[in-house]
Amino acid sequence: MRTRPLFAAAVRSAAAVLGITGGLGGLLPLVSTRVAAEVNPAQTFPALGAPDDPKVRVSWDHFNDVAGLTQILRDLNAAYPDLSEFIVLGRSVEGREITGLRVTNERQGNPDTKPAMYIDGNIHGNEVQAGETVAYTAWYLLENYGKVDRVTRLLDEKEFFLVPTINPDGRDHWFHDPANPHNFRGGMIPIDEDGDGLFDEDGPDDMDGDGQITRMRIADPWGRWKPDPDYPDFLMVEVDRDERGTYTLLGQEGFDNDGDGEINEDDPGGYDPNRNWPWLWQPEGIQYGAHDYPFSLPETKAVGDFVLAHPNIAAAQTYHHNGGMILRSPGSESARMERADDDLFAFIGERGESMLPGYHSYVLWKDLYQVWGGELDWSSRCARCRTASPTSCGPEENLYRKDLGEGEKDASAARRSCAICSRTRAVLNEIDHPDYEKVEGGGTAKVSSGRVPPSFLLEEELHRNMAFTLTAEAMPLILDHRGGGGERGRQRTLAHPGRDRQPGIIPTRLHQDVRHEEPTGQEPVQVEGVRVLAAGRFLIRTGPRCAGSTAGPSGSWSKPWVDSSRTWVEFLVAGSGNARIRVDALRGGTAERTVSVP
Amino acid sequence: MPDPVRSSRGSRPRRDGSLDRDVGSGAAVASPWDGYTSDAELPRALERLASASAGQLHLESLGTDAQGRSIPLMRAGSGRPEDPAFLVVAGLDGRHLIGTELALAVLRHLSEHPDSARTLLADRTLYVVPRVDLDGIEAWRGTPHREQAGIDGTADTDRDGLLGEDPADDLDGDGTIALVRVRDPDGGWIERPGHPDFLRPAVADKGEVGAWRILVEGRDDDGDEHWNEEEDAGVRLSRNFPTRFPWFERGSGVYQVSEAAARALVEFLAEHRNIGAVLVYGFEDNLLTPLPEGKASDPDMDRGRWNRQPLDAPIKADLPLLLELAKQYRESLGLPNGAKKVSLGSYGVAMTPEELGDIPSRTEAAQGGLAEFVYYARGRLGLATPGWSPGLQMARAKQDEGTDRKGDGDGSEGGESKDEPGANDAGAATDGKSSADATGGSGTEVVETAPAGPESHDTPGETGAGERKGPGADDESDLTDEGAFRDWLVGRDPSAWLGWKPITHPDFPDQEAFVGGYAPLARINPPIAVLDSLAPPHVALVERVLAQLPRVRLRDVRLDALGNGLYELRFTAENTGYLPDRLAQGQYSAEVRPTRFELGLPGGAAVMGGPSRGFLGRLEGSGGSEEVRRLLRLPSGGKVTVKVISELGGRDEHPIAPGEHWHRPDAKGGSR
Repeated sequence: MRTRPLFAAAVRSAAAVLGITGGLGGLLPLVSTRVAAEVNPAQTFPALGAPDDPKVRVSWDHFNDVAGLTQILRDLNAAYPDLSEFIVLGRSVEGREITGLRVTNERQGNPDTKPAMYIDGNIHGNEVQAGETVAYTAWYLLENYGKVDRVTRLLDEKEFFLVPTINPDGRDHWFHDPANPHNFRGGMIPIDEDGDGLFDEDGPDDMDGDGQITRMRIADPWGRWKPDPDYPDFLMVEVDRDERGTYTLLGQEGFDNDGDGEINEDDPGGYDPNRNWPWLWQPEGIQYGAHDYPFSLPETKAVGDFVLAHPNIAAAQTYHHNGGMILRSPGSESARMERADDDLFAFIGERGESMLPGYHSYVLWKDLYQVWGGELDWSSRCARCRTASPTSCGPEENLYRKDLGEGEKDASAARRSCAICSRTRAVLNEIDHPDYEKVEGGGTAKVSSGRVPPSFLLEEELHRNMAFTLTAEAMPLILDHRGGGGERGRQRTLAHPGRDRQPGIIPTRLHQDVRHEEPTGQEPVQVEGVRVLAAGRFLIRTGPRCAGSTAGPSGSWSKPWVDSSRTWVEFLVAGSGNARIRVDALRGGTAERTVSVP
Repeated sequence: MPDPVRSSRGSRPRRDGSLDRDVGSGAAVASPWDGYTSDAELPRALERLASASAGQLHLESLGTDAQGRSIPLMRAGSGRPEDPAFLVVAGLDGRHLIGTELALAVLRHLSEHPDSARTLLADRTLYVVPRVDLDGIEAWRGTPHREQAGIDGTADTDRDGLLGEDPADDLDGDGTIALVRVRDPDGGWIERPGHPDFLRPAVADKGEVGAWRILVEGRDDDGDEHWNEEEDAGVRLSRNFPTRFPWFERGSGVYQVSEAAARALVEFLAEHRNIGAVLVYGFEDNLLTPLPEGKASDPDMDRGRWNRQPLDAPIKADLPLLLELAKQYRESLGLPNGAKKVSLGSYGVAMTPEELGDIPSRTEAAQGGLAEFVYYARGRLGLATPGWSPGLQMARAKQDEGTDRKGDGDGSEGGESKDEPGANDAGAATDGKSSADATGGSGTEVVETAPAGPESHDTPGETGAGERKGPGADDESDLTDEGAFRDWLVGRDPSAWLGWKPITHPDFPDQEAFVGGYAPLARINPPIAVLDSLAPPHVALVERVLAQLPRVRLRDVRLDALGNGLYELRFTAENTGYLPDRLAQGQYSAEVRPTRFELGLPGGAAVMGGPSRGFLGRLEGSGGSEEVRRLLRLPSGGKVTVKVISELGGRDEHPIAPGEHWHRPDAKGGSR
């Protein structure tokens, strides 16, 4: 047997450019409409940002119901059949399809082995702009393929699963039914919230038929509330102990539909789909809205099955609204992350802060509240994706680009109304109430609260969040490896992927999964053509220390990588000729190279 | 019934317990578990029971498992959602055959006594799922015989991307996958002094040096220096439930209730909200080994749900009930309450192969267990017992012996066996994992303490032999016990102990190696003849819990005229069952509704200043009651119907006319 010197295979992850860099987009008309207005190219000049002359024109200053979102996806799929596939994940409680687009360049590489990113939104039915954010992402990626290098590279090397709404029931009810900004957060399985044996029998009622569920008040000289002195049309304030108010507040607009003396005590649904996921799921008493058991809902089960069926998903994003937060795991204090994973998630969140003014990078349980059985945790821990959960800003933060103190928030409604130049308040004129005699009321109109942005901020929200999504460039990708015959490992040089590329900062596996030997499948480096006697990973490229030196029976090195950006493996081989080195990472793609062993 | 004593092997262990090195001829032998119901027999057996039951038993389906097979469910009683119901589940672990037989014994009893079944089940329902894991039993019936705890494997146990690449191998060709012990200074096990048939972990603190490795019989087929790590690659349904789910541990599943069969069970529970109690036969245990008395949760029940934390012990208001039920159970087994508690549920110090989980300790079994889910996540009574264990068997044997010999009368309330050295020695084959402090010598009562810390959840695959806390080197009191159990077992079924047969192990050609030990399943399931004495107390257990279910009934109803068309309605609702209408955990988990009432009013009538519905507070068992008073306006007379509706305690209603006073005839005590 002739023993050959070692040769090295150096592998590194993909590049990523984080943050917004110049020269990204093409030029575009500022406002695009789906009813294609004639644009005279001689008279219009595109602004930076959205794609110039898109094949599919969408009014991104409008919201869409489920059918509208699905139509956008279908239009995009029809315009870009080679870059997209229309997918259906499952059906909702009321039978609506959960639809999405798979976006990748099908003709380059095998999509099943490309690192993938899963993005959904609108798990809470009223958090509607999350749906447009995902649809905009699909639109932006498809319309810019071949125009923006960064996008082209993303679709060549990576795969995206884009699912605008995973709560289509809640979304459609919120748009089509009378509601306030907070209604229809959950799903539509009837729940007996008041335990009287009847289901959803007493929800709010649109008493004046204006499509808005306002808040009721009744004039009362002994009341404890009064209109805010500065903003009487917008705010009610509680009076001091030694003061007399003018009103008693009666809650949401509605009647005692079931005659039990309570008003609006059992509204449609009564659970939270974002508490139904099988990571540290806890029952109703610990976690409101958990429903009967993990994945008891058709929507969550469909999404879970889909994600787990695509083990190449290495990153995920799940969009919400309100608050301007980039949330990350864990949702409960007891479910601590591996420190290295937490560092990574925090790093990405901080990059997001720089792209999303007004947003803060937060740990869910610590900075917001405790959540058991949330999608964010499930996705990060059980599905093992790097996951962030951006929540769209309220318009106030976006309008003024600053953190608002509590007192300022009180005044925000009025200022918002001023800036928006249109009516933001719903009014309930005095009306005969069967349970309370005469009541009146008012409140924020459905789409005008701090929860949903006005048109001019909507486009900004959609674009900025999409840009954050493109940190998918940080997904792992086995890009190249270098090596060659020669003496004693002096060939251990690292392939340089080019000046514009930085390391993929997401490892092929989270540290949590390295520790638990999860998931199935590792990242073997295989050598064929010569006989492998031993293999080992070197700690420093040019250094002498090798971490172990065993090879599997088939000439493979299959220990997990803990290094997020590169690893050097040396093989001691016997024989000569061409050796094929192949790297296969479940979440980092594949790469191979043939070297000559002298 | 097969002959419980068969002599099939070439030799038998010597009574002195020394290593029997010349045992075994390798000839094909009868299985020691003949008489247990196979998968093929199960549906037929259930159909026979149902058809012979004079309409008392109804064969239904729980749902389907991952392979699309129907999981049989037997219903006895009305099945009406308004009646209290009780669910018995067995066979969540494929190895636990005795549980299935105990579940069948109940059905057999009901089928043979349809009249008493009719009386018992007049206003309540019993559901029995005799076997959920339909794969395990076929594993030992197959060739070679072997133990399989999980459903047929789809899990890549060693995460190498290959499935089933390193199964066990029948090295000695005797048709059985047994254990292999290989002399190896790197092994963590040593022989017990004087009892070389049995190994126990070496205790490094005491200067003991390991001498043996224990492996599953077979080769390292894939050359990864793990032996037969894919032997039992499936998910253990018994560990797949959400409460304290053992994340990342072998066999627990990808996520909480990921498996179809486990989901069928939780769906059934969600759809049958009237099920107030569930009994699980398996390795979970809160009956044979009672819960520690001093460990209870005391959450602030009045605080809102904001930021609530999961509990890790029963709420203090519920614990006495659980302890009382456990006491009743042990008494029905002929064991005094003071019998050594840990040892009753003990399977002895497990000789644990490196790559397979062993019989879980009670603490381990509670992680992802069904009974835990029922209590913590459904707020209902979750009971569990193995039904049989070596510890129980030896305690019963000793009990008989002791009664004969010295008539020790240990059955007195609160009698503690620790006062009587030697009592229950035989049962002291300590639970190797949970009773780390079980070193106090013979007869010391040990109550299991805190569950394993979270770190144990996070270190799957690191639970090697060295981590299993065995008895201290100076505590050899349990040695005779394991030997005694082996002798007891062999006395009834010689094929249950394979002895230790020297082999040349292909992967350890130069090292001394033996194959043998207990036959597969022999430590988990007794020779079937034992069922004769085991069945009656377990039939009694099911009948007792059925009778103990909460039962909410009206006791007094009166409608007194106050003049001016006003009447006062007074009624008292009472819980005539033993269990409360709602456990404290039912309230804390918010999964059990409070008992409510509804008033049916004649036309024109109204309740003054309030609705015609309302809720009652918690109705304790054994007669807990609450009186409700309402002012009514009855302009044109007529009867008022009072209806009480309990989620777990059934319903009752009674119409009452103005001026009438009704008292339930069979109610204890007079009206107030």
